[in-house]
Amino acid sequence: MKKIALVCIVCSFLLAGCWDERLYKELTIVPLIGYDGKPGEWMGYFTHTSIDSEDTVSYTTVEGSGISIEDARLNASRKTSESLDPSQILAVLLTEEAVRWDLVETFDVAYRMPRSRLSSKLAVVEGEMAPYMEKTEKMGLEPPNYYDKILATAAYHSIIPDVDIQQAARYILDDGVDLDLPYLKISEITGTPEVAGVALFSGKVFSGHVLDMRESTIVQVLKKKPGKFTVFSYEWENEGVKYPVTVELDRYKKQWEIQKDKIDVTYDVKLDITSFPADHLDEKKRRRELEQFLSKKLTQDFNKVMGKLQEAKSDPIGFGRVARAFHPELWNKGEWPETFSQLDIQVKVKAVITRTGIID
Amino acid sequence: MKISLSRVQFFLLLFITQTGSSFFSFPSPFIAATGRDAWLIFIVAGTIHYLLLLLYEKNYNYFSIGPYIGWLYKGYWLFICVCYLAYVDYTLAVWGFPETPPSIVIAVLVSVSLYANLSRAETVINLSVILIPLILLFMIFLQFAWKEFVWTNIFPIGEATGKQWGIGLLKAQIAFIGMELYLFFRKYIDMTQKIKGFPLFVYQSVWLLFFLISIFISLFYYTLTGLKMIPEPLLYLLKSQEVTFVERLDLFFLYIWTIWTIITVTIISFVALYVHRLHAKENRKRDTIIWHLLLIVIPLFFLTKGSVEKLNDVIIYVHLTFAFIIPIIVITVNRRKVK
Repeated sequence: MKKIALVCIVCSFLLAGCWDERLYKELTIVPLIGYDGKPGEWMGYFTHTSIDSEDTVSYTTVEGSGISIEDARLNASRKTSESLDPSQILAVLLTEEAVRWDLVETFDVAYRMPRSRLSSKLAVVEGEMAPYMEKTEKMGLEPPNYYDKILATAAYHSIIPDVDIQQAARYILDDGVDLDLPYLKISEITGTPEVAGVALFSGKVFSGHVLDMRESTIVQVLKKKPGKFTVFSYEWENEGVKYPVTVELDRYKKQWEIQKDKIDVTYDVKLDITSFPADHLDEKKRRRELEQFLSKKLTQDFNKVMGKLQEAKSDPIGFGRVARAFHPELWNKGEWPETFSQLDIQVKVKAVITRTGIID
Repeated sequence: MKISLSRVQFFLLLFITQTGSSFFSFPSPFIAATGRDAWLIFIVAGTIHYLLLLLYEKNYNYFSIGPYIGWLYKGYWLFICVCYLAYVDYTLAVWGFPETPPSIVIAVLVSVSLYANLSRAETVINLSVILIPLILLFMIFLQFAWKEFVWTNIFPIGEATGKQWGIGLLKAQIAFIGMELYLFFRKYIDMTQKIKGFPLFVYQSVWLLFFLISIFISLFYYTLTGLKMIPEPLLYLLKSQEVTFVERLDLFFLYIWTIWTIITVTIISFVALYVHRLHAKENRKRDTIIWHLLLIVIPLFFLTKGSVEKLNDVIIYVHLTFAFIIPIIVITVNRRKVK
């Protein structure tokens, strides 16, 4: 009797989920979504899979509008034969207009519903949304995979932060740090969407300021959250001849000295030379000259980027977190974006060459 | 029915009961009430917990109860089981099974306890062992979020007000629930095995560390504003992690937590039925079945967000009555009688 009871119990565990089964034949997977609009007037572009007569998977985009992004999805669902299922999104694109509103409120459905995937990538696009949802000849891949790949590659090369929907909320809800999201635009040459830098947020919304790829790479270094590869290139002049020099960031240390109205930031960077046609790197003097040159150039660029961040009142580096934790006199001065924008911040980069490659 | 426990079995029973249902739900309301100093307040609460264990250890021989107090405790444990079952069903419905009828889910959960309690005592006592590897796995997976931890989130220290300390010490009681089982099981431990001193300190340290880790992880991963929005921060953290072998890591751990809660309910049911049999030895099977029918039916009335929240608020005060006030009264009265 007990054995029968035990078997029944074990079997009942297997059956309990039957009420909640979701069959793929009733759903269509949406791997890419684009949003445009503002609270009360959202427009959603949902790229979903469809199986054609030759049993091959293709992607179609359907539009929907509504008072929230969920309402827009429901509206778009009525235009398809199957229900749009956003549980396996790869990337979400947002227009500049869409990010002028609190993202946490906009994406409430994603944070609230357990089936939504929080690890989807987020990006801001320049201009209208519609062209970004179309497949172009030079994409090489279907749009959902294309955006997933280009965003992953750019993060790998430290051009953009590796931010997903969940992390975006953590930054927005943190008063001591600001969000920076990948920024895409359509290339004038190829007509294909490409990574162009980062969109800076101030507080909970887009500041209207954008950094280019070089500047956004510096922001990832300043944050101490670079990707696998971080590369800088400059032109080095010697005896009237200009030589390109390319260095790869090996490892580095940061030191922040935060005072009442001043922050001194020092980065000790170890660099590997990957390209330097002027050669003679076996000479100590040549290496010292190059180190001084790189220190000066990197210091200039880092300070320039810091100025742009202050102008945008955006602190993606997270000085605010340290100020909140250890410098109450600075933190309590007022709203952090305002305080940050008025601080005297000096960045100093000390470059040291550690490797020169397999030729001198 | 005779019970004989080893020291390890005893501490494992106690640990599973104390961590059981509350582990996922504990950090959010506790940190919301206490702020960044939550960890500091919990260390003080942990000291109180240790003092109480020492008090129990010193006086457990004087804790013998009559049928009336026995009925009070049975009512208390029924309430605790109902709270846990209502909460686990609500959480399962929200996170994984919105369409499955609650009665089916609760019946499935309770049937495990029914089977174990109809079997020999060893079945219940050794059931907790299956949780050991699962709990370790759970702790390992929580560390997946390590690179996203913001350690400055716990600073500045010492900002909590007197009111926050008071509410914090009260909310910390959620982690104490189940400790009264110490008084009921202690006398069944093999007399040759030492409990007093170092072994008790080790148990206290493991319990404290376990809850402190949950507090630190929640504080490091979330902002205070974010924590106020998330009732189950550890489960949400697991949901946010991307792994290659499973789409939703949270569901995997939701099942582990469900097993944890089922075993907690089984242990509490076991002690309730054991106390019942001290004074009513007949109709063992009938009483066990009636108890479990109550466990299936009563939670069905408390499956809304509002009801679950109300139960979570009330449970602290009920626990204080049965873990502090009644034991102290019973022990004092019995000591006087002995003198």
